Amino acid sequence: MTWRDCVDAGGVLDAAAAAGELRRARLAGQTLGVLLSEEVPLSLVDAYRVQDQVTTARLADGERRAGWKLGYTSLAMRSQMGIEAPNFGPLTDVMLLASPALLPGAALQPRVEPEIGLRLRRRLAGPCSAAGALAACDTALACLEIVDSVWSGYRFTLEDNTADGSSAAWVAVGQEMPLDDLAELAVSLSVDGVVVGRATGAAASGHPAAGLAWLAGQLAERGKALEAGDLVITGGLTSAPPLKAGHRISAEFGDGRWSVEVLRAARVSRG
Amino acid sequence: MSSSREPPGSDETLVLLERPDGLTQWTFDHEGGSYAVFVVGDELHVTDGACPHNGGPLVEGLVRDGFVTCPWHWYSYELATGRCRTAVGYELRRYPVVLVGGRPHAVIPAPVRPRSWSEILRAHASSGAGEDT
Repeated sequence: MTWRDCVDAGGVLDAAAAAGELRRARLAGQTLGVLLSEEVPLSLVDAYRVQDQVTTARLADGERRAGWKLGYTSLAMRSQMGIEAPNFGPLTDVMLLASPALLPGAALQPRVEPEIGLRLRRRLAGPCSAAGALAACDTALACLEIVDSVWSGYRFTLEDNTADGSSAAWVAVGQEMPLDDLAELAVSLSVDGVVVGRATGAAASGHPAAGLAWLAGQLAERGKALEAGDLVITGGLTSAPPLKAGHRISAEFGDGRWSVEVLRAARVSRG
Repeated sequence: MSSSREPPGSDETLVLLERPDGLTQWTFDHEGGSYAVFVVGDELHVTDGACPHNGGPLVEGLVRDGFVTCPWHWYSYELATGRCRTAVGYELRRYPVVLVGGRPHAVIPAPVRPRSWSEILRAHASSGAGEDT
Protein backbone atom coordinates (compact mmCIF):
# COMPACT_ATOMS: atom_id res chain seq x y z
CA MET A 1 0.00 0.00 0.00
CA THR A 2 0.98 3.65 -0.22
CA TRP A 3 -0.02 6.46 2.07
CA ARG A 4 -2.30 7.71 -0.68
CA ASP A 5 -4.50 4.72 0.07
CA CYS A 6 -5.19 6.34 3.44
CA VAL A 7 -7.06 9.27 1.89
CA ASP A 8 -10.72 9.02 1.03
CA ALA A 9 -12.35 10.25 -2.16
CA GLY A 10 -12.88 13.65 -0.57
CA GLY A 11 -9.20 14.01 0.19
CA VAL A 12 -9.67 13.47 3.92
CA LEU A 13 -7.05 11.45 5.75
CA ASP A 14 -8.31 8.14 7.14
CA ALA A 15 -6.49 8.31 10.45
CA ALA A 16 -7.37 4.75 11.39
CA ALA A 17 -5.94 3.40 8.16
CA ALA A 18 -2.72 5.37 8.58
CA ALA A 19 -2.47 4.25 12.19
CA GLY A 20 -2.99 0.67 11.12
CA GLU A 21 -0.04 0.87 8.74
CA LEU A 22 2.18 2.44 11.40
CA ARG A 23 1.23 -0.27 13.84
CA ARG A 24 1.66 -3.02 11.28
CA ALA A 25 5.18 -1.83 10.46
CA ARG A 26 6.22 -1.64 14.10
CA LEU A 27 4.84 -5.06 14.94
CA ALA A 28 6.57 -6.49 11.89
CA GLY A 29 9.88 -4.97 12.99
CA GLN A 30 10.07 -2.69 9.97
CA THR A 31 10.96 0.94 9.62
CA LEU A 32 9.26 3.07 6.99
CA GLY A 33 11.24 5.03 4.42
CA VAL A 34 8.40 7.05 2.91
CA LEU A 35 6.85 9.60 5.20
CA LEU A 36 3.13 9.99 5.58
CA SER A 37 3.58 13.72 5.01
CA GLU A 38 5.33 13.04 1.70
CA GLU A 39 2.26 11.48 0.16
CA VAL A 40 -0.72 13.11 1.85
CA PRO A 41 -1.37 16.56 3.29
CA LEU A 42 -0.70 16.13 7.00
CA SER A 43 -1.54 18.85 9.49
CA LEU A 44 -0.60 18.63 13.15
CA VAL A 45 -4.28 18.05 13.92
CA ASP A 46 -4.26 15.13 11.49
CA ALA A 47 -1.09 13.80 13.09
CA TYR A 48 -2.64 13.72 16.54
CA ARG A 49 -5.70 11.98 15.07
CA VAL A 50 -3.41 9.27 13.74
CA GLN A 51 -1.61 9.08 17.09
CA ASP A 52 -4.94 8.67 18.88
CA GLN A 53 -5.85 5.81 16.56
CA VAL A 54 -2.53 4.06 17.23
CA THR A 55 -3.16 4.46 20.95
CA THR A 56 -6.67 3.10 20.59
CA ALA A 57 -5.25 0.00 18.91
CA ARG A 58 -2.66 -0.45 21.65
CA LEU A 59 -5.27 -0.14 24.37
CA ALA A 60 -7.49 -2.59 22.52
CA ASP A 61 -4.60 -5.04 22.72
CA GLY A 62 -4.62 -4.76 26.49
CA GLU A 63 -2.16 -1.97 27.17
CA ARG A 64 -3.05 0.70 29.72
CA ARG A 65 -2.21 4.36 29.48
CA ALA A 66 0.36 5.26 32.13
CA GLY A 67 1.18 8.85 31.25
CA TRP A 68 2.69 11.01 28.56
CA LYS A 69 5.98 11.93 26.99
CA LEU A 70 6.99 15.32 25.77
CA GLY A 71 9.11 15.85 22.69
CA TYR A 72 11.09 18.85 21.56
CA THR A 73 11.00 20.67 24.86
CA SER A 74 14.59 21.65 24.11
CA LEU A 75 14.84 25.00 22.32
CA ALA A 76 17.91 23.76 20.47
CA MET A 77 15.98 20.78 19.12
CA ARG A 78 13.03 22.93 18.12
CA SER A 79 15.31 25.35 16.30
CA GLN A 80 16.96 22.45 14.52
CA MET A 81 13.56 21.13 13.41
CA GLY A 82 12.18 24.59 12.64
CA ILE A 83 9.20 24.16 14.95
CA GLU A 84 7.67 26.44 17.51
CA ALA A 85 6.25 24.14 20.15
CA PRO A 86 6.88 20.72 21.69
CA ASN A 87 4.77 17.70 20.88
CA PHE A 88 3.56 14.84 23.02
CA GLY A 89 2.74 11.17 22.88
CA PRO A 90 1.16 8.60 25.16
CA LEU A 91 2.97 6.22 27.50
CA THR A 92 1.44 2.84 28.26
CA ASP A 93 2.23 0.35 30.99
CA VAL A 94 4.23 -1.94 28.73
CA MET A 95 6.61 0.89 27.92
CA LEU A 96 7.74 1.25 31.52
CA LEU A 97 10.92 -0.64 32.44
CA ALA A 98 12.57 -0.86 35.83
CA SER A 99 16.17 0.32 35.91
CA PRO A 100 18.59 -1.35 35.28
CA ALA A 101 16.47 -2.19 32.28
CA LEU A 102 17.06 -4.71 29.54
CA LEU A 103 15.76 -3.35 26.27
CA PRO A 104 13.06 -5.55 24.72
CA GLY A 105 14.11 -7.29 21.55
CA ALA A 106 11.49 -5.56 19.42
CA ALA A 107 13.50 -2.34 19.23
CA LEU A 108 13.96 -1.02 15.68
CA GLN A 109 16.52 1.80 15.90
CA PRO A 110 16.59 2.78 19.55
CA ARG A 111 18.12 5.98 20.82
CA VAL A 112 18.31 7.02 24.44
CA GLU A 113 18.02 10.38 26.15
CA PRO A 114 17.99 11.38 29.81
CA GLU A 115 14.80 12.96 31.06
CA ILE A 116 13.25 14.11 34.28
CA GLY A 117 10.01 12.27 34.96
CA LEU A 118 7.29 13.93 36.99
CA ARG A 119 4.50 11.99 38.67
CA LEU A 120 1.14 13.64 39.25
CA ARG A 121 -0.27 13.41 42.75
CA ARG A 122 -3.54 14.96 41.67
CA ARG A 123 -5.56 15.49 38.53
CA LEU A 124 -4.50 18.40 36.37
CA ALA A 125 -7.20 19.50 33.96
CA GLY A 126 -6.67 22.69 32.04
CA PRO A 127 -4.03 25.31 31.51
CA CYS A 128 -1.83 26.23 34.45
CA SER A 129 1.50 27.81 35.27
CA ALA A 130 4.71 25.84 35.58
CA ALA A 131 4.59 26.43 39.32
CA GLY A 132 1.02 25.18 39.42
CA ALA A 133 1.96 22.09 37.44
CA LEU A 134 4.88 21.37 39.73
CA ALA A 135 2.63 21.73 42.76
CA ALA A 136 0.46 18.95 41.32
CA CYS A 137 3.39 16.50 41.36
CA ASP A 138 4.56 14.31 44.20
CA THR A 139 7.90 13.12 42.91
CA ALA A 140 10.55 13.47 40.26
CA LEU A 141 12.14 10.38 38.74
CA ALA A 142 15.46 9.80 37.00
CA CYS A 143 14.45 8.43 33.62
CA LEU A 144 15.92 7.36 30.32
CA GLU A 145 13.59 7.57 27.38
CA ILE A 146 14.27 5.00 24.70
CA VAL A 147 12.88 6.53 21.55
CA ASP A 148 12.40 4.21 18.59
CA SER A 149 11.01 5.97 15.56
CA VAL A 150 9.19 3.93 12.97
CA TRP A 151 10.57 6.36 10.37
CA SER A 152 13.84 5.12 8.85
CA GLY A 153 16.90 6.95 10.06
CA TYR A 154 14.88 9.39 12.17
CA ARG A 155 14.11 11.39 9.05
CA PHE A 156 10.71 12.95 9.67
CA THR A 157 8.69 16.12 10.04
CA LEU A 158 7.10 17.19 13.30
CA GLU A 159 3.78 15.88 11.99
CA ASP A 160 5.15 12.45 11.06
CA ASN A 161 6.88 12.22 14.43
CA THR A 162 3.66 13.17 16.19
CA ALA A 163 1.66 10.55 14.32
CA ASP A 164 4.24 8.02 15.52
CA GLY A 165 3.60 8.96 19.15
CA SER A 166 6.61 11.27 19.25
CA SER A 167 8.79 8.15 18.82
CA ALA A 168 7.79 6.90 22.28
CA ALA A 169 8.85 3.31 22.82
CA TRP A 170 10.10 2.63 26.36
CA VAL A 171 11.09 4.46 29.52
CA ALA A 172 13.63 3.12 31.99
CA VAL A 173 12.46 4.41 35.36
CA GLY A 174 15.21 4.96 37.89
CA GLN A 175 15.48 6.55 41.28
CA GLU A 176 13.19 9.02 42.96
CA MET A 177 14.51 12.58 43.20
CA PRO A 178 13.35 15.67 45.09
CA LEU A 179 11.17 18.15 43.25
CA ASP A 180 13.33 21.09 44.36
CA ASP A 181 15.69 22.91 42.03
CA LEU A 182 14.96 20.73 39.00
CA ALA A 183 16.13 23.45 36.61
CA GLU A 184 19.57 23.37 38.21
CA LEU A 185 19.71 19.59 38.41
CA ALA A 186 22.82 18.37 36.60
CA VAL A 187 22.61 15.33 34.36
CA SER A 188 25.27 13.40 32.51
CA LEU A 189 24.66 10.71 29.91
CA SER A 190 27.15 7.90 29.43
CA VAL A 191 27.58 5.14 26.89
CA ASP A 192 29.38 2.17 28.43
CA GLY A 193 30.58 4.44 31.22
CA VAL A 194 31.96 7.17 28.96
CA VAL A 195 30.22 10.52 29.34
CA VAL A 196 28.77 11.68 26.02
CA GLY A 197 26.53 14.54 27.13
CA ARG A 198 25.93 16.93 29.99
CA ALA A 199 23.07 19.29 30.71
CA THR A 200 20.79 20.57 33.44
CA GLY A 201 17.05 20.36 33.90
CA ALA A 202 16.79 23.83 32.39
CA ALA A 203 17.40 22.28 28.97
CA ALA A 204 13.71 21.34 28.97
CA SER A 205 12.23 24.76 28.17
CA GLY A 206 13.80 26.34 31.25
CA HIS A 207 12.23 23.95 33.74
CA PRO A 208 10.74 20.45 33.40
CA ALA A 209 7.44 21.71 34.80
CA ALA A 210 7.11 24.19 31.93
CA GLY A 211 6.44 21.36 29.52
CA LEU A 212 4.07 19.74 31.99
CA ALA A 213 2.02 22.92 32.17
CA TRP A 214 1.98 23.15 28.39
CA LEU A 215 0.84 19.53 28.17
CA ALA A 216 -2.00 20.18 30.62
CA GLY A 217 -3.25 22.93 28.33
CA GLN A 218 -2.87 20.81 25.20
CA LEU A 219 -4.78 17.91 26.70
CA ALA A 220 -7.52 20.22 27.94
CA GLU A 221 -8.03 21.46 24.38
CA ARG A 222 -8.66 17.84 23.42
CA GLY A 223 -11.01 17.13 26.30
CA LYS A 224 -8.39 15.16 28.21
CA ALA A 225 -6.55 15.64 31.49
CA LEU A 226 -3.52 14.52 33.38
CA GLU A 227 -4.61 12.02 36.01
CA ALA A 228 -3.26 11.41 39.50
CA GLY A 229 -0.54 8.77 39.22
CA ASP A 230 0.38 9.64 35.64
CA LEU A 231 4.04 9.79 34.70
CA VAL A 232 5.12 12.59 32.38
CA ILE A 233 8.63 12.50 31.02
CA THR A 234 9.46 16.08 30.28
CA GLY A 235 11.76 15.93 27.28
CA GLY A 236 15.30 14.97 26.39
CA LEU A 237 18.02 16.99 28.10
CA THR A 238 20.93 15.96 25.86
CA SER A 239 21.27 14.54 22.38
CA ALA A 240 20.14 10.93 22.04
CA PRO A 241 22.86 8.45 21.09
CA PRO A 242 21.91 5.12 19.54
CA LEU A 243 21.75 2.12 21.87
CA LYS A 244 23.63 -0.59 20.04
CA ALA A 245 23.45 -4.28 20.81
CA GLY A 246 25.75 -5.26 23.63
CA HIS A 247 26.01 -1.75 25.02
CA ARG A 248 24.76 0.15 28.05
CA ILE A 249 23.55 3.71 28.41
CA SER A 250 23.23 5.31 31.80
CA ALA A 251 22.44 8.71 33.23
CA GLU A 252 23.46 10.26 36.49
CA PHE A 253 21.47 13.10 37.99
CA GLY A 254 22.61 15.47 40.73
CA ASP A 255 26.30 14.68 40.31
CA GLY A 256 25.79 10.97 40.78
CA ARG A 257 23.21 10.98 43.55
CA TRP A 258 20.55 9.39 41.34
CA SER A 259 20.98 7.12 38.36
CA VAL A 260 19.19 5.07 35.75
CA GLU A 261 20.43 2.72 33.07
CA VAL A 262 19.38 0.55 30.18
CA LEU A 263 21.19 -2.28 28.47
CA ARG A 264 20.68 -3.89 25.09
CA ALA A 265 21.63 -7.52 24.84
CA ALA A 266 24.20 -8.51 22.26
CA ARG A 267 22.93 -10.64 19.45
CA VAL A 268 23.58 -14.27 20.16
CA SER A 269 24.75 -16.44 17.31
CA ARG A 270 22.65 -19.51 16.77
CA GLY A 271 25.71 -21.38 15.46
CA MET B 1 23.23 -21.62 63.01
CA SER B 2 22.93 -22.18 59.32
CA SER B 3 19.67 -22.76 57.50
CA SER B 4 19.03 -24.26 54.11
CA ARG B 5 16.14 -23.49 51.83
CA GLU B 6 13.70 -25.73 50.09
CA PRO B 7 12.05 -24.54 46.87
CA PRO B 8 9.73 -21.73 47.91
CA GLY B 9 6.04 -21.39 47.29
CA SER B 10 4.74 -18.24 45.67
CA ASP B 11 4.88 -16.16 48.81
CA GLU B 12 6.60 -18.22 51.47
CA THR B 13 9.80 -20.14 52.05
CA LEU B 14 10.55 -23.33 53.92
CA VAL B 15 13.61 -23.06 56.16
CA LEU B 16 15.12 -26.29 57.45
CA LEU B 17 15.41 -26.27 61.23
CA GLU B 18 18.72 -27.86 62.11
CA ARG B 19 19.02 -28.25 65.85
CA PRO B 20 22.51 -27.46 67.14
CA ASP B 21 23.86 -30.17 69.38
CA GLY B 22 22.68 -29.82 72.96
CA LEU B 23 20.57 -26.70 72.46
CA THR B 24 16.85 -26.30 73.13
CA GLN B 25 16.65 -22.74 71.86
CA TRP B 26 18.58 -21.09 69.05
CA THR B 27 18.24 -18.48 66.33
CA PHE B 28 18.52 -18.34 62.58
CA ASP B 29 18.56 -15.52 60.08
CA HIS B 30 16.70 -15.60 56.81
CA GLU B 31 16.22 -12.93 54.12
CA GLY B 32 17.08 -10.16 56.53
CA GLY B 33 14.85 -11.47 59.33
CA SER B 34 15.95 -12.99 62.64
CA TYR B 35 14.00 -15.87 64.15
CA ALA B 36 14.08 -17.85 67.38
CA VAL B 37 13.43 -21.58 67.75
CA PHE B 38 12.34 -23.16 71.04
CA VAL B 39 12.08 -26.86 71.83
CA VAL B 40 9.27 -27.52 74.30
CA GLY B 41 8.76 -31.21 74.93
CA ASP B 42 8.30 -32.80 71.53
CA GLU B 43 7.35 -29.55 69.86
CA LEU B 44 9.29 -26.91 67.99
CA HIS B 45 8.13 -23.29 68.17
CA VAL B 46 9.46 -20.68 65.79
CA THR B 47 8.96 -17.01 66.61
CA ASP B 48 10.41 -13.64 65.75
CA GLY B 49 13.83 -13.36 67.32
CA ALA B 50 13.19 -9.93 68.82
CA CYS B 51 10.82 -9.21 71.68
CA PRO B 52 7.81 -7.20 70.44
CA HIS B 53 8.16 -4.90 73.43
CA ASN B 54 11.59 -3.45 72.88
CA GLY B 55 13.59 -5.80 70.66
CA GLY B 56 15.24 -7.92 73.32
CA PRO B 57 16.83 -11.27 72.35
CA LEU B 58 14.14 -13.82 73.13
CA VAL B 59 16.51 -16.70 72.46
CA GLU B 60 18.29 -15.74 75.67
CA GLY B 61 15.03 -15.77 77.60
CA LEU B 62 13.95 -18.27 80.20
CA VAL B 63 11.42 -20.83 78.96
CA ARG B 64 9.13 -22.25 81.59
CA ASP B 65 5.64 -23.77 81.42
CA GLY B 66 5.37 -22.99 77.74
CA PHE B 67 6.21 -19.30 78.17
CA VAL B 68 9.37 -17.45 77.16
CA THR B 69 10.39 -14.40 79.16
CA CYS B 70 12.52 -11.73 77.53
CA PRO B 71 15.79 -11.12 79.42
CA TRP B 72 15.64 -7.35 78.95
CA HIS B 73 12.33 -6.29 80.50
CA TRP B 74 10.74 -9.64 81.45
CA TYR B 75 7.84 -9.48 79.00
CA SER B 76 6.52 -13.01 78.80
CA TYR B 77 4.87 -14.74 75.83
CA GLU B 78 3.06 -18.03 75.44
CA LEU B 79 4.96 -19.95 72.76
CA ALA B 80 1.92 -21.90 71.58
CA THR B 81 -0.13 -18.77 70.85
CA GLY B 82 2.16 -15.73 70.92
CA ARG B 83 -0.04 -14.17 73.61
CA CYS B 84 1.71 -11.72 75.94
CA ARG B 85 0.79 -12.21 79.57
CA THR B 86 2.70 -9.17 80.78
CA ALA B 87 0.89 -6.34 79.07
CA VAL B 88 -1.83 -5.80 76.53
CA GLY B 89 -0.94 -4.64 73.06
CA TYR B 90 1.93 -7.02 72.45
CA GLU B 91 1.89 -10.30 70.60
CA LEU B 92 4.80 -12.50 69.59
CA ARG B 93 4.68 -13.47 65.95
CA ARG B 94 4.85 -17.22 65.40
CA TYR B 95 5.63 -19.26 62.31
CA PRO B 96 4.26 -22.69 61.40
CA VAL B 97 6.55 -25.70 61.52
CA VAL B 98 5.99 -28.46 59.00
CA LEU B 99 7.70 -31.77 58.30
CA VAL B 100 9.16 -32.19 54.84
CA GLY B 101 10.94 -35.45 54.17
CA GLY B 102 10.69 -36.18 57.84
CA ARG B 103 12.63 -33.06 58.79
CA PRO B 104 11.17 -29.94 60.46
CA HIS B 105 10.96 -26.71 58.50
CA ALA B 106 9.74 -23.26 59.45
CA VAL B 107 7.29 -21.64 57.04
CA ILE B 108 8.55 -18.09 56.59
CA PRO B 109 6.63 -15.56 54.48
CA ALA B 110 8.57 -14.03 51.64
CA PRO B 111 9.88 -10.60 52.57
CA VAL B 112 7.85 -7.68 51.33
CA ARG B 113 10.00 -6.19 48.60
CA PRO B 114 9.58 -2.48 48.03
CA ARG B 115 7.91 -1.88 44.68
CA SER B 116 10.01 -0.23 42.02
CA TRP B 117 8.76 3.00 40.54
CA SER B 118 8.02 1.27 37.26
CA GLU B 119 5.77 -1.17 39.17
CA ILE B 120 4.02 1.68 40.96
CA LEU B 121 3.43 3.51 37.70
CA ARG B 122 2.25 0.36 35.95
CA ALA B 123 -0.14 -0.37 38.78
CA HIS B 124 -1.61 3.08 38.31
CA ALA B 125 -2.09 2.33 34.63
CA SER B 126 -3.73 -1.00 35.40
CA SER B 127 -6.21 0.77 37.64
CA GLY B 128 -7.74 2.04 34.43
CA ALA B 129 -7.24 5.70 35.31
CA GLY B 130 -6.36 6.54 31.73
CA GLU B 131 -8.41 4.27 29.56
CA ASP B 132 -9.64 7.08 27.36
CA THR B 133 -7.39 7.99 24.49
